[in-house]
Amino acid sequence: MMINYLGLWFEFAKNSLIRQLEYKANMLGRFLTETIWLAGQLLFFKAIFLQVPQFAGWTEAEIYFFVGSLYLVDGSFMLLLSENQNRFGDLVRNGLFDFYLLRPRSAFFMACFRHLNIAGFVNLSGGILLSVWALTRGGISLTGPQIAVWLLYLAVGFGLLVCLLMGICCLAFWITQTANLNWLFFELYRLGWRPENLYPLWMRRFLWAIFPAAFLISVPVQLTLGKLSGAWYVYPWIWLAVVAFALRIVWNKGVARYEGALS
Amino acid sequence: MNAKAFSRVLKNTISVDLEYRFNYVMIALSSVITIAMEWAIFSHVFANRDQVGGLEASSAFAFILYGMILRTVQALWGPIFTSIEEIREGAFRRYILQPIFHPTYFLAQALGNKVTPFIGAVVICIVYKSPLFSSPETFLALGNLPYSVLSFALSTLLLWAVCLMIVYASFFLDESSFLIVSLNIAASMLSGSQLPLSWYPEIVRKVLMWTPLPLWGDWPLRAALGLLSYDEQIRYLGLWALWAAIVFFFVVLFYKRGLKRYESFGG
Repeated sequence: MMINYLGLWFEFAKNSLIRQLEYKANMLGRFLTETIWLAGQLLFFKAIFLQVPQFAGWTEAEIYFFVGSLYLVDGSFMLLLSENQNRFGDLVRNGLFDFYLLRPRSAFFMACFRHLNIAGFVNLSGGILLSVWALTRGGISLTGPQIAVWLLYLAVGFGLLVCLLMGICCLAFWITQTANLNWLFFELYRLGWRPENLYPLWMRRFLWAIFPAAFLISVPVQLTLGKLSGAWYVYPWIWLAVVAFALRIVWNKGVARYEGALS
Repeated sequence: MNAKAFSRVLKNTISVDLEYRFNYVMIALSSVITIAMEWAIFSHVFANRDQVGGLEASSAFAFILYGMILRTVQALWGPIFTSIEEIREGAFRRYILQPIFHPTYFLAQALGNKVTPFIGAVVICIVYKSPLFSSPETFLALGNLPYSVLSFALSTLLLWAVCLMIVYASFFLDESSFLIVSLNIAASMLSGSQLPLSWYPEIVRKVLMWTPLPLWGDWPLRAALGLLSYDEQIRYLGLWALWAAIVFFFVVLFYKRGLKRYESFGG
């Protein structure tokens, strides 16, 4: 079953790659855009660390490790989800979601992973390079189990992001226009692009308990670096379970309610 | 410039824009989140320090606020993507057939798009300058207000002119939207509106000075904060004139050459 879906995903990837390679200038341009964004983020922190040796308990190497992890999660999101999330509202509105329901594969899988955004590779490879570079700069030494924690909890963070995002997308079954809700989601997601202990306490509480952006990147990195411990190993799993359960309900209800334009 | 056509397009853009009121709620929310994120960082950088890299702690919030206003008012998406689509899909021919000059139309649309955020920005600045808040005295002080307004207007016009140049570049390129996105990201992150340029490494500053980027952030921001010396004010005006001439040359070149080679859909 798993191998079956993996094979299907590779077919989707191949198809998206061929389609996007038809517009080479556009693809190079998107690579350029992503590179500028990566460079801008790096320069932002470089400029800060030229003024202060550390801030909010984070050293320069730790912040670069955080930014590397951010690129990994955000790059995975861009690569796998961004195109699909942009199209989902239109699919439901125009009735084209019918074609996903008719296929002999999970409609949810198709809705999440049908299209790939190749520009996400830039962020993903930038994330890997930056994380490795941060680790070799000194000041951080990770053991094997710590690396395992890092990868596992980033995967949990990414899973949480998928569930939250698809939850918002599913509202398209009830609401005609979801563009503004997606926008709202991204504004809140953006709060997770900085370590949450930079924020005042009320905002941290919001990011821990109401919109769990802190669990996407910040908490996994802090668990890896030993800045958090104990119950913090459990909280991401609880959030993931709750959000995945809620998504399942919303998805099922939404699909049951869906009346395709073509049906 | 056909004033009547200009005002008609401007009025139309404003009324269409006002129909999407929820967008303004989102812009406001986005701005609050941006300020919160930047303030979180600045408050740690300025912890127990009165001054960092030429920026006083007392001016830090004004810097963040005005930087956010600059980015919000200057960033232009709608009219640019519409124009690029029109060129690509052949709808650009209406500017050839009708007595409306496209740059006029574009400027009216850009202004119409930004009227509401601009009014919001003015209100925020007035409220921030009121005795309710302890804003720094030099921030938009009467003495430097005319130069601040001038730098804001010229800087915004230059950015929009570069956008227009990219729009006309789509006569030659199949796809130029990515250039707009790259330009807006660079203008937002590297112009000195997010962090003072004096904080950046020396080499980066030297490179940036060869680009128009500081004209979109550092110039209007430091002018508003009263941080520009007389020499710097003159130097920035000269730099603006130089870049404006270069951009104007390419806008005209791309427009004229582009129209010559343009074969509209169904034309």
